[in-house]
Amino acid sequence: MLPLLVELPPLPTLRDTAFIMPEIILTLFAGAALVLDVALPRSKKHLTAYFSLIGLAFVAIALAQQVAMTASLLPISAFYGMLFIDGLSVVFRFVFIVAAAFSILYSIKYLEFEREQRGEYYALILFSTLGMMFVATSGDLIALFVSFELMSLSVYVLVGYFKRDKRSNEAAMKYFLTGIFSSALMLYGLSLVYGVTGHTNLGLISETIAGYVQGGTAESGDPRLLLMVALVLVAAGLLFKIAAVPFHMWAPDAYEGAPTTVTAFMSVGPKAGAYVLLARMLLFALAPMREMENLPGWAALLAVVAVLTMTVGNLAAVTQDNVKRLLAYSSIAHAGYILLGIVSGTDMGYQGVAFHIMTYTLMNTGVFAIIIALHRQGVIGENLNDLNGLFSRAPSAAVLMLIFILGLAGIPSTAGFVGKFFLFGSLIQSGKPWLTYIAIIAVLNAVVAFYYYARFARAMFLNAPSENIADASPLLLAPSVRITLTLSAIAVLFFGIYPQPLINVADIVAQSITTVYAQSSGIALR
Amino acid sequence: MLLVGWEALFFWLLTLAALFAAVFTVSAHNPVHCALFLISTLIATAGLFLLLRAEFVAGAQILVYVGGILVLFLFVLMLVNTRSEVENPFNRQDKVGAFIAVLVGLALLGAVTYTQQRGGFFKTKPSADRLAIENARPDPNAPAGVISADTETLGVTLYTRAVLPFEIASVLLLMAIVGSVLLARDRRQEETYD
Repeated sequence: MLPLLVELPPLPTLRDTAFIMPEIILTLFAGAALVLDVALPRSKKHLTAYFSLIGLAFVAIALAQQVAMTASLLPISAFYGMLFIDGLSVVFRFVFIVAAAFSILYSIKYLEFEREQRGEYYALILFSTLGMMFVATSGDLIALFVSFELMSLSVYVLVGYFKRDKRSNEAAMKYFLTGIFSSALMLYGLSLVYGVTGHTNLGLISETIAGYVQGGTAESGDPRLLLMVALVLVAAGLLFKIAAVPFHMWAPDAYEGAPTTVTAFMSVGPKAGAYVLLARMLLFALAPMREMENLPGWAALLAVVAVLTMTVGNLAAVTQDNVKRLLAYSSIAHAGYILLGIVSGTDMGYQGVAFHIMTYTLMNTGVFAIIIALHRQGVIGENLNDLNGLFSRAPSAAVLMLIFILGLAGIPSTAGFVGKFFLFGSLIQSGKPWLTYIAIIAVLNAVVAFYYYARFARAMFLNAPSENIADASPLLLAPSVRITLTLSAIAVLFFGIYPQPLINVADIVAQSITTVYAQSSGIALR
Repeated sequence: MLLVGWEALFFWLLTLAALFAAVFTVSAHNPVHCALFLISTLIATAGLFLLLRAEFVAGAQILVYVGGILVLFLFVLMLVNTRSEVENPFNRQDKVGAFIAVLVGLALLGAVTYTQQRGGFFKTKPSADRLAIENARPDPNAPAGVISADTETLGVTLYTRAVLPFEIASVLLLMAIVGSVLLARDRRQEETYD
């Protein structure tokens, strides 16, 4: 054997591997779901769904155990800085697991009805969740990008899952093309970041850029302009993923054409994954570029985008009659609200971001679960008119829907209000006058949003039932779905009245953003 | 690292070749021509890798992309009749697209020029990865026939520093296979397997 020409670094140890135990379990279950699908006869395929749910439960247990063992050690870095676990990764991995579990639970009946019950569907949701979990635990550009692609590619396939449905095909094509385009943009930006800083480790990038931003002199070089170009490219890619204006055009089409269960999943899971990537890039790697001397930083850029996003999203939602399109525009508007918390740059803002994403997951999956239940023999159930008279036909479903809709609108005593309060309040708390103006625009936007959310309530409670619906079979929720929906609704109300427990959780995220990231060199290469 | 002499000449030749071939790839009317131009781009990029003394990457680029993927592309293009779609490769947005592309290109060019005037890049401490690559680079004055450490560096990095992304990428490939099979098989094939 020839002697090695390069020095061999120490190999990853068992300690490193222990940190990715939840992800390993998830991978095993996703693979096993594929095998199980082949083994099961056609009438038993839905068992894969329950198997996947059990898998997610195991992942949650492994994650809880990891948290219990390592809570005092956070932040942890392993695998040569590729893996980086902090408060943000812990909280958001739980959010992803909940989003995936809800989506799987609500999908079972729907796929049965569409005669598309297959194990691959659930395996793809698990793979996508795996990608999200790795996004939340990556401390390196390479790992971040690869895991983000794992997440997105699974969703592209899921959007086109009804391959004999024209709309599903069209949506998948649009989503795929815009998605890979935005990935390419982001990758180009990331390559520039690597070129300028010479690092792929987020902590080292942050450290290097901080040096450039503070002492941009002739001796140390001044690549800030080049970093600006990189920042614009990275931000464009990221804003594409969260469907912020002006990169939002794909969202309504993709949401409308995708199978409704997939729409429910992609509006919470991959969306939250994209927010985590945004936070990692802007609040960690490129954090020193928030505000720069003589140059605009990303705070100004993001503020403009946030205002545009919520205004365009809310105004466009007003005229929609298709519920899925309406919710797509509503999710665009919510992306605008969430960006506000990042713009404000205060503890309160970050708490608001985490709080809002957590409660949004509950409320949005809840709304979609009812829409999915409306989809029955001969009824597509996607038009706002299909909700007409829901209260007289299925009172409990209508009341649950009302709670989720009020939550999305941000009515006081729902969790949606607390999230919005934190997000808008952080702008005023930051003490900068221009942010106060943005807060006023945001409140006006929330008022516009009341209108289209109120249309749901009017259709359900005041309008007479449409005739074609009256002929259809009665609306039935499976017991498991009913229990989950009731629990989500109770959570939405409970955290609206007594939000402190969830605020404490959100504070873990805010703390890890403000304190851990401040000492970023701590996660440098091991 | 400044390029001088033959290296500079080859750098500019290869860069221009790659760029022009890339433009022709998107503007050619015949899809087969597009694929051929893409091959030119990839070969020119492989040449650029050679200039960076990344022999293994250059070899892999030619073997995998040119030898494998692009040949498959050509097979598919020749088997599928694409004549109906080649009338005009541009749509209504081509002018806007070209304008934005030129704008981004100018911004990049301006930023690079400005940065070089203000003292250039890499004045900070290089990372461990970069040091490893620098150290692995063979002595330019060494006699011919000396084994380059490039392949070894890549292999060692792949199984130590990059092992986690490597494993994630393997899951990504598995998922891609499952997804493509899911989308590609027809009803008869589905029923056979169910």
